[in-house]
Amino acid sequence: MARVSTYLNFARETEEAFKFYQTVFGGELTGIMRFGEMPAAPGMPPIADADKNLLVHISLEILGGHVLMGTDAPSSMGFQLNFGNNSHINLEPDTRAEADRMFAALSAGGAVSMPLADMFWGAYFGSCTDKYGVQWMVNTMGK
Amino acid sequence: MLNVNPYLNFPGTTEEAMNFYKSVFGGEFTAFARFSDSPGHEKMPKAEQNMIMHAALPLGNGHTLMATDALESMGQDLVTGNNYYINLATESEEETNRLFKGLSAGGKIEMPLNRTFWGAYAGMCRDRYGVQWMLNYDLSS
Repeated sequence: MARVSTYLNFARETEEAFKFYQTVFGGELTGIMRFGEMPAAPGMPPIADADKNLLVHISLEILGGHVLMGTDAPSSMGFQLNFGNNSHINLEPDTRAEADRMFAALSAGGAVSMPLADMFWGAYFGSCTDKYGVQWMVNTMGK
Repeated sequence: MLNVNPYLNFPGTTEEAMNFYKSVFGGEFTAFARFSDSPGHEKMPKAEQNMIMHAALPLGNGHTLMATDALESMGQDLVTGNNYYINLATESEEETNRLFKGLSAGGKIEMPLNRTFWGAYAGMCRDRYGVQWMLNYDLSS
């Protein structure tokens, strides 16, 4: 089935970050592949021992069937990761209680940009950056 | 219903960018509101009143791309990063080719579409508005 998912890059913290997201959303971590398990590609330098345990891929279904995926992008492999503030993942839970719970969990150790509050568009809404630099919005029209 | 959607910020180019995505994905906007539609907009700088407060474009199967303009007057200092991709699971090579060509036009191809070791026809690009996309057609599907 065609679907849209979210793919995040972290320098070396993908596994830790996904374990954190699992504590927030529940579910199972699937599709785990480490750099040490990748088939050697012709012309590619071998993977350094220190990088072998890093993740090529991991996925976690969060809400409403949406899948969050991630990979490590270490500078030792030439990646230059810039954490932008131009993308949010927008969560639309069914109830205020769920919104409160998720928002508290996601913002723990991170930064609240806008505390959850009633908005003029009729929603209970807030936004935050989690401790790994990912930006979230929580928006519910529920009671 | 529980839902998760990508929400993008642009520096005043939301209208142009969302029309670009509409030209690639087709469909109709389900929301397209300007700041001039919001309470208290009279206090905003004129140029910002015409900017987009909220735009939504359905991408199919319940997924919606959403965006807003970041406002300088509100101190919203936009930094376009490279840590975030929208991943499209496509349903045919033809569809993958069409979407990749559309999204990468005027942007930058990071990984051309190719058959990968994980059994997919996949590619990566950064579009002309700085949004990063991955396309992945599972060849076993």
